[in-house]
Amino acid sequence: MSDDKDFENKVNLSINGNDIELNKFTDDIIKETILGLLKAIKTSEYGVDEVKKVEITIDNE
Amino acid sequence: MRIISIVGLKNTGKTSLTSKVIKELTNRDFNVASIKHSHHRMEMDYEGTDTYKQMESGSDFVVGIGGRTYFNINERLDLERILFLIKLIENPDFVVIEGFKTYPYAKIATCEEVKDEYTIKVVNSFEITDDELLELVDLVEERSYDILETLFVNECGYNDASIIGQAFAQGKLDYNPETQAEVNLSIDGANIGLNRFVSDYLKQTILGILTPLKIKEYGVENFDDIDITIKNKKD
Repeated sequence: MSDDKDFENKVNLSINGNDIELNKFTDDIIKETILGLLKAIKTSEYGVDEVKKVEITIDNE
Repeated sequence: MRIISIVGLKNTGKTSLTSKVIKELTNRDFNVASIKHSHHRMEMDYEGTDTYKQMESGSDFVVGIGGRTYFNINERLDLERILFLIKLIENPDFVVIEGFKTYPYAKIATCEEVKDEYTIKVVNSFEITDDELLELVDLVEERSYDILETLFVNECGYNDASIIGQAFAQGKLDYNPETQAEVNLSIDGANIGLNRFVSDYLKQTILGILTPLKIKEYGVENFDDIDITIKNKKD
């Protein structure tokens, strides 16, 4: 697992209001997984042609 | 699943020792799979059978189903691929391999000439006593290990797959199920090693995706064993 200190986080994760720090590998894997899931959704029907910024909140109570 | 191979030069008693080891492992209530490696052409089927006729007619993958099921594939598969497929189909306690001198799995040698870093014991196959056989199989239980890529190696100071294999074979590392990945991944026929994080991540993500599916309609109650293959042809 590479811990590249100079990378720029693409994913911001907050759980119960606490910011969770992600290393490059975990940042990548979360980003790619979510983008992969979103590819299967017909977002163009909602006028979305390109995925630039994704916001998801999960209510897990 | 743990793998043990029995290697040696020609006529040093590999086949009889292989049979004895299989017999003793099954005496101990283990499920055993076995592989015979040969440099020569091998046929399990013979002229006159219906499956033989199917292969002669040009079928590259013949399956015979009766009291047993057998696959006759017109291709030489790599050992690593075969081990992965055995794990997928059967996941036995042990795979006993006769032959395959150069592979990185625990070995019993039937002569000094083939001894290497993975050899757990050199045995005279013709003179081995019943007690010595029991001790040998104890050693097999202790030192043999699974497909290297399915073991977690980064937590014990060993990073290189062949080094960890040798450490197991030489008794420097104890095999235990905790060092075993729950996710086994193969891409284009190559077994891919996963560390604990990636194995957990794949498992939890896939379980998350599968949980909303109505699996009960298919008579499935639990998620004990999941096989997924992806033919990645289109985006």
